[in-house]
Amino acid sequence: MIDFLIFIEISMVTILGIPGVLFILCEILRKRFSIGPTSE
Amino acid sequence: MINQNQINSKKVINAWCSYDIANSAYNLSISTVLFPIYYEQVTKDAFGSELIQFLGYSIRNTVLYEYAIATGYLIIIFLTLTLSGIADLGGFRKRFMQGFTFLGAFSCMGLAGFHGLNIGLGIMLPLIAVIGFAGSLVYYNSFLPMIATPDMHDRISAKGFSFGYAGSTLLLIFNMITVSYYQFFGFNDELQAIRFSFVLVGFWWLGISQIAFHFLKEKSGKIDMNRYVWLKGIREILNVFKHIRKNKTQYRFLLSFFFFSMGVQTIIIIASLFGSVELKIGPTKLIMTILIIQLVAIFGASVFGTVSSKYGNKTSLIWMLSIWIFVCIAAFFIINEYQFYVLGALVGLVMGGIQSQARSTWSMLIPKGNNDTASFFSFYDSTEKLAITIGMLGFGSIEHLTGSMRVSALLLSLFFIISLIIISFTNLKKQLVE
Repeated sequence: MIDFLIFIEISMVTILGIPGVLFILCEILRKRFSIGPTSE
Repeated sequence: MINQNQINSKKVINAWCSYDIANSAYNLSISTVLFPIYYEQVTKDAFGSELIQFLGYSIRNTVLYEYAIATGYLIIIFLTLTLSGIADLGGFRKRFMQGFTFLGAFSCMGLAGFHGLNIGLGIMLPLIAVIGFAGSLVYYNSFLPMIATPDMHDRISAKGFSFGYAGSTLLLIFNMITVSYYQFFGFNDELQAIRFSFVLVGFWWLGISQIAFHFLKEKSGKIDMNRYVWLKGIREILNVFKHIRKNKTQYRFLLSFFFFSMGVQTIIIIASLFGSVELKIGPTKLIMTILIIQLVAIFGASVFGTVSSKYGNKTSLIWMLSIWIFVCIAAFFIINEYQFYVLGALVGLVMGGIQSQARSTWSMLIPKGNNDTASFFSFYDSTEKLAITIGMLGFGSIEHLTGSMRVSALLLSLFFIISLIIISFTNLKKQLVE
């Protein structure tokens, strides 16, 4: 049986992880291929 | 513990429905219309361009907002899953409902303190407000079996929905008047009028909810406290999923629903932001467009209800999906506000229709005569929330990469095309006859 604290940890990792990883991945791709808006 | 005096009491039912008036105002006025417009304007003014600084990254303001909304919906999924089990514990419902309402309403009022540079506040407060919104809804729904017998549930749910629809539309009209005639109300500009609306909606939410809190009585009884009570919602979802996996029609329909929800819900959230960013349409005209969409949606739902009864649910869904595909592709090309209004009217035509048709089709597909109906519907709602999360993440990441919402709109058309293909290969008639 899953423990409540482990569930909270899984939730937090999912909630922050999925958008966070996608954000960083997009940043890397954007810089690598010089696409999208830039501040320069 | 159920108070027998409140079962099927007209006064209590009306009080319960009134809560929908209270919190729907947040969903329509703030989430859908005012906050996206305000956020886009103030961040652009504060940072001097659409690129803002966040945690050391230079990111487009709208992209950050889209990621934040997706994160908010992820929180809602986990929250709803755990709270639905806890909601069944006697004696806690009203307290929790009040707690989430306060959390949501005060966060909504707090939005008035967001001025652009304090971007952390501008991202966190809508997230907290949305937690208050979704959390209070779980307890609001859990009150239904306590105030009415099962034969009344559908009617009361529909009544609550129509209360919420009418109330939120009325408040949006009032907000539109304050924003349009801001000078008459003593405001310096439209943004100040919008800030006032944040506070007003917060008070509306807090004030009207007191009617429900006054009439909904709950005796605190013996609490069946179980260490794993919070797992109930997750167990329910897993059981329903096992059942659906075995039924080809249900599985395909739900998959199709999942794909078109990614598009439909994302468009609802993003429509005003799209008009503001891509077409530079002002707040008043954007609020007006959303109002038109709301009103056309009633007409659209009845039109496609007729199509459905004449040609069947599948045909009706295929027609609506085709219109959605057209809307998304056209969004890539539109250049002026009039084209945006036409697209808005088209969205209105299919927005109400597709949501009500999908819900009624699902209710026809699920097994009759057992107690699992609620579980099947909570699975359906979770599917929709997951679809919003993925839809928003997809929309946000494409905009992040390309710097254009128009390309993201094309991605949404892809979701609708996939949904159309799946529904074309789904034999709804067979399941409905069975």
